[in-house]
Amino acid sequence: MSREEQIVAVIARHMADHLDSPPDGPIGAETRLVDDLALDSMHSLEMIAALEDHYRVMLSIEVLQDVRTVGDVALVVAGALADRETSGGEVGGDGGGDDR
Amino acid sequence: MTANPTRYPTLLAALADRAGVDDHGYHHYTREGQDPEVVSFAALHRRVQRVAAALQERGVRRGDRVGLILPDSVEFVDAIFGAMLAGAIPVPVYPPLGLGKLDTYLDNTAHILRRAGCSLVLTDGRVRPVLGTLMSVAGTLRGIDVFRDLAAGVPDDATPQPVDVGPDDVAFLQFTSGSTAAPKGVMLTHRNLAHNIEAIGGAHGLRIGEGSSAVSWLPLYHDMGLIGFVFTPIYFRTRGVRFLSPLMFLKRPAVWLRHLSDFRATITFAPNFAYGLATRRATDDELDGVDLSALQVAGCGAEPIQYPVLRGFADRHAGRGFRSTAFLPCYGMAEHSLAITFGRLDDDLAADRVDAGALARGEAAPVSASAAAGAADARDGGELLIVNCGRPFPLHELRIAGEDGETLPERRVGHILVRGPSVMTGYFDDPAATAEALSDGWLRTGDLGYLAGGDLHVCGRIKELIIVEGRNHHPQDIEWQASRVDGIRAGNVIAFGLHDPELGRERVVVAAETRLAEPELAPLMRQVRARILEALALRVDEVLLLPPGALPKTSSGKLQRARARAMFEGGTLGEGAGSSWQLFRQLKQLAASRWSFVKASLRGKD
Repeated sequence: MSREEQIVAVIARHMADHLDSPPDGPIGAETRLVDDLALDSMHSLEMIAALEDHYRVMLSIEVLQDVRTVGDVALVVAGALADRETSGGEVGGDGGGDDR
Repeated sequence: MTANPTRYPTLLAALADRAGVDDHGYHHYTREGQDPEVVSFAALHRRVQRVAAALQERGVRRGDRVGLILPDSVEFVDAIFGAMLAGAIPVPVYPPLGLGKLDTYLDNTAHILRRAGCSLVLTDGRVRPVLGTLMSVAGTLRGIDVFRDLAAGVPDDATPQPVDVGPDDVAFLQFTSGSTAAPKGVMLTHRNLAHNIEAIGGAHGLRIGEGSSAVSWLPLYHDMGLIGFVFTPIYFRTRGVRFLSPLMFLKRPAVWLRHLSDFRATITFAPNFAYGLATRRATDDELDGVDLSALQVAGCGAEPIQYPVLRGFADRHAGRGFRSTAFLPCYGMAEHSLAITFGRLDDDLAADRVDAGALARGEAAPVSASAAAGAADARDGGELLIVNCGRPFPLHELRIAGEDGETLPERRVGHILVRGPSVMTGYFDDPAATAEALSDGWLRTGDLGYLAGGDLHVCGRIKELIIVEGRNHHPQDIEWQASRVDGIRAGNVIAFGLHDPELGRERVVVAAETRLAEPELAPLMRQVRARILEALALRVDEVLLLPPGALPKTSSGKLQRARARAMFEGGTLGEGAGSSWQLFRQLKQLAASRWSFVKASLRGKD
């Protein structure tokens, strides 16, 4: 399983736990946040926060303006993870590691 | 109403009086992941001169309407005062919130800009590209400017041509979807604002002083955030206000409480649902070390207040120093500037326990006064807990009126009417709507309530209000949004909620008339859902598409919501609509099958 696929699986699990009317089929990379999951801004921000906690990365609220599908979200998370790794994965940089 | 003058005639006079205050002001934490930007009142006073000068140079003249679509709180505050100082009338408009579906957003925004006759819109570089098409649909619009570029176009020390702005000039237009149909522009004068701000912060309100400090994540394009946390602090010279963005709060409700603790804030306000989110979604880990003991006022307003939600918050955070006496339930609306009644400072949260059946008949019959204080469930045993919202302010009157306008005695439910210096002068360019709302100085709030011991208890539009996940939706707002979908017969939509024990919440139903037929109905249903989700952040459980004439109406053509709901429950909604009945039945079965799927999946989870 690629990293993106793993992230998609994490998102799918979050959705299954938090949506009170889940979609008809399984949630995958192609699943659309608004059209298929009827996700509103509150639920999508809750998802972003859950992904931040799960992966210990910072995901900007503004990513929501650029994502349409679960796969888009997974790419954003993968990007944040890659950034963290290239910067050495350390918390000691300037203001990077805001451990809540 | 000149007997009790306010301490400042206009907001601009209050701002001018703060020109030397450089140790108090706004702390903008709204840019996620960046350092906060602190703007003292003195700095604001200087910045605003430049903005006003730039607007005048751009051709803005006295009385022109200027739309503000500015998600950034620093820019928003600069722009609204700058527009006022230039002599213009600012019109705050909500920014796009992301997650696509811009059509709906642009349609609503165009409506507001047209209605207000805006000549200019100020926005930021990120939103600007999205607004491209507005010029062609809002006829009066001459430009959509990036605010930062506009302000940079004049020297730092530029000052505007003085414009004589007085207490009877309109300070800004507050657009509200309120209770009926399309958004209307509430005209608030500087006098209105000065009186309401005196009421909010003065001796009969929060007693705001230099020791007061506040935290708010409320949107600034809305009355509670704007008047409560931008205007009022300047007026009373408070120590400071920390602004967070609404999306920051929605992402992590704990952030609100963290800032209250760090800032030792004494005042905050939020709608009912926010206290619910901060109870459910803030984790102990996130709240480690949070101390709410400095908080004196936790105001709750802008939507009907649910006693168990606030109690739940108090219980959850008592260990962090939160005192339920800090709760300050309030009632208000944009047409009354902001606040109509406040609970008393330092009083504990109080609710009236009444018989639900009697209340529906218009009688607030107390069930047991002593039981009310410790009650945890608002809806057990046919009882309701109605939160005490306190009293109106000096110079302001409130009465409860029956159907013929007669004043009702205590504990009789009727229309809430208010009069006084905070009441709007009217809806902008809408004499018909103004005449409907105002008569003889009395504002019809459109809400139902009763007085007990002189204190207001608001029942809301209790029969029609749709309450989902602690949030209250007026059916009119939902209906209006559905009406804007192509293919739906405008004005022929009824929305209602049905309590569903299996779902554990209200099931939201939208019944709408259309002339379309299969195969266009399924896409139309999806569009209605998407539209309402986008505009109101509400997920509709069922959309029923009906042929023309199927919805029940009065002889004068008014929609009958209660009757439609009863017909729906009895399975007769849409009957008698002739040949289209077959179509309707198929749709209904489709809706029902979807419904049972949801129920099955819920059961499977438990």
